[in-house]
Amino acid sequence: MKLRLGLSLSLLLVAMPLAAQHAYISSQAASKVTVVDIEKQEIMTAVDVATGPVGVSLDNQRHQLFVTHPEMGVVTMIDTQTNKKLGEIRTGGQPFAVAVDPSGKHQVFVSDWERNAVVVINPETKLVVDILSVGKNPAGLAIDSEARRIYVANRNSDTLTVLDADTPRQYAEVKTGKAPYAVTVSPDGRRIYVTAIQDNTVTVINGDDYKVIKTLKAGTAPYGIAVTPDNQWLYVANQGTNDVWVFDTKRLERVAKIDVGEMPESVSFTEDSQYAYVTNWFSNSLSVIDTKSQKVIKQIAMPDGPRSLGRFIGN
Amino acid sequence: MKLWATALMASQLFVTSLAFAHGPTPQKIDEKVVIAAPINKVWEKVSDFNGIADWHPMVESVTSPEEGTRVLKLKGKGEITDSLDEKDDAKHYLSYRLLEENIEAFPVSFYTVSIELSKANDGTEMSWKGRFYRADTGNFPPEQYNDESAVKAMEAFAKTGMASLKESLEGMK
Repeated sequence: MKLRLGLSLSLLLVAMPLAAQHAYISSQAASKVTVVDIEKQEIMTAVDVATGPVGVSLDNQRHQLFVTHPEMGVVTMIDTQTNKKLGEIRTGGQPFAVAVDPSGKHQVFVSDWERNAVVVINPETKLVVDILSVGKNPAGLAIDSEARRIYVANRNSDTLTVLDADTPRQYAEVKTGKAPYAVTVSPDGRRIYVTAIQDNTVTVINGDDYKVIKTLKAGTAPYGIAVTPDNQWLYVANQGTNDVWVFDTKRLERVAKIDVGEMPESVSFTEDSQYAYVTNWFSNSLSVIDTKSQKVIKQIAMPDGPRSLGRFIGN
Repeated sequence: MKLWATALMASQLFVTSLAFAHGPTPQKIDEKVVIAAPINKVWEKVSDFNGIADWHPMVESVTSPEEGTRVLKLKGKGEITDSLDEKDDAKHYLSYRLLEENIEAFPVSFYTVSIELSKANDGTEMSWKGRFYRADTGNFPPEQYNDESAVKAMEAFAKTGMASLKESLEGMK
């Protein structure tokens, strides 16, 4: 009896990893969000959502996922513990990228492609509390919680807008490459990276004074971009060349080129920086990359049109 | 001074809207055909970026204002302009994008297309893939400018072109 108790206790410990991570993949054509178990590297479940889900963002504290629907003018809220829909928030316009404020403050930022704005939502009341003017057709958006800054890539103004996360204040509008799409901030907040689809570049911007440090050459039509949580590698997903380019963040030089599926769209990392996940919009799959060997170790089939613009891996 | 600035701004706005007038939700097509002809014969036709009028019945004529740019005069319709992204002879791979749209002539506001050939049992498999946006990218497009019309136009252009190429190359045996 005693022995059995001890055994079952240790089994329990094994079965409860510190924080189970999941990837949340929006499939635009299939109108689904697929939940992938990071430890098993396989699909756990899928949630039916409104038409055309695109951008995603996770609230790891409150166990919530936010998903944009540009065609519908709504944002879906999902409970990530039950994987059930909590409801829809009507934003109007064309909500595209989304970023939860990780500080715990009840606010979620959404770029609005059609109205050239950033919409601020209070997820508790499910109401729009502010609409901030930015450049033309804002696409990607990122938040630096510590510095309290919001970065918005204005697709048709060729600029990045820097906003305050707490007050309606604009700090800068920085010139980027042609047709900027996705934006990410380094974990230390020192650098901002922006992909530009039309001139195949990544603009590297200083997080302290918003000056351009360097312009990197990417593959054809670079879309998704992310930095490993250990701040060592920068990954860029190139839609035209069907690959991911890996840059060393210290030297800002390319160190690898990894073939993925067709027309990759978005890239995110596991918390330990060990794996990168890439959504392949055309070939309907998710590529899992081992960041040490810099090789694809698995392809997971996804419902039609996987996108997941934003940081899509969390608890 | 003020007038000059306004004129400059207006011209920039105009150029911008022409070049990237597309919205946030793309569509796709994925068409394939097997042609009973050697891969080099098919590639000879397909890789000639400005020679598409030779084998595509929906294209009346092509002019090339500069290297890597082609203006297609669509039969009975207006003109659209393509820009070459990549041509890889070893991989038999060609990709291009819509540079200047004309939604009256072709109801798509932006596309990228890739054409790839591979050896098949009885000849060559030709694959035609497209990612594109409807003509009216607002949330309430009229019927002729919606996703369905865009998909139809893209499919028809790919299918008609490949069928015609197949017919002419197989007929030459």
